Amino acid sequence: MAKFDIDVMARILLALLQGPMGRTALFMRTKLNYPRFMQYLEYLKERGLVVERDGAVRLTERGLEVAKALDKALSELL
Amino acid sequence: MRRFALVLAAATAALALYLLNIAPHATAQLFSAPATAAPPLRHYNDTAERRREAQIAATPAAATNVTEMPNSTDILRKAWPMSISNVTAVEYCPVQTTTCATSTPASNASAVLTKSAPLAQAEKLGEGVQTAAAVETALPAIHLAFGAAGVALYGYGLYLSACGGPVCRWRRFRAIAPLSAATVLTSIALSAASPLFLALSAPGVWGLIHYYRAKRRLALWLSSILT
Repeated sequence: MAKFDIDVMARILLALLQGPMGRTALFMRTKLNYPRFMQYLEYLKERGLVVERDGAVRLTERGLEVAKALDKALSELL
Repeated sequence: MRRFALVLAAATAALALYLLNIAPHATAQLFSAPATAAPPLRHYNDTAERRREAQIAATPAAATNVTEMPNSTDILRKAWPMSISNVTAVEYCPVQTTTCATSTPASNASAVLTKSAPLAQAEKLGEGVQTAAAVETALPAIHLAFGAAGVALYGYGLYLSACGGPVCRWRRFRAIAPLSAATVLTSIALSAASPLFLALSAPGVWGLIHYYRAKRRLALWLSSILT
């Protein structure tokens, strides 16, 4: 199994916190190569944090919880 | 945002102090460049050629008197004897500085240079001055590397922290590491000027510890969610 970086996970979750986003737009934000981006997307889909619907990637309910918790933790850490 | 602001302020202060500190060195190097390209040995034995009057005290406590020569481009590489008011002293200008020093031996008053042996002592003193100047130019070279690394990391930290939106919080969190490292590196670079500047590295070290502890905690939390 490929190793997944917390930095990229956090960037994807926090970017999706703004709202649903097209796959390409999300790919551009992660600054990864496309195959690696797809690996991350599949990993997050498997864990039930994101879902792809109507051509857009969006957070699930659980994903939204995690992203909000991450955002709160960051605001406390800064 | 308090921690980020503290780290950013410390890094900015350290960088500003570092830049202020290297500015005189850079100016001195700039002005001394022609002198190092063609280094003529210049002896000024005639007091009429001097552009200033040396203030020499007869008491040994105030024997050394450093005076600025603001408009001079005569950077001398040797020491030479001079005599004012029956007191013989040695005046020398270190290489790559515009400051000249007039000194008489400060250990006791009887050790003031006599007329019989001024040149030998002057030569000896000149060698000492040249060695000191060489050390002075070698030290900043090591510390300049630390300083340059600090400046680069500071730039990277600024690049990370100049952002907006929710991802910005993550970028600012990540910027704590390079900004803290920049603080530590520039304070190490500044320690050449005074060891007291090492105190500036305290917020940098604290920032680095805070960053790595927080990142480890976040990674543990996120991995517990994802597995």
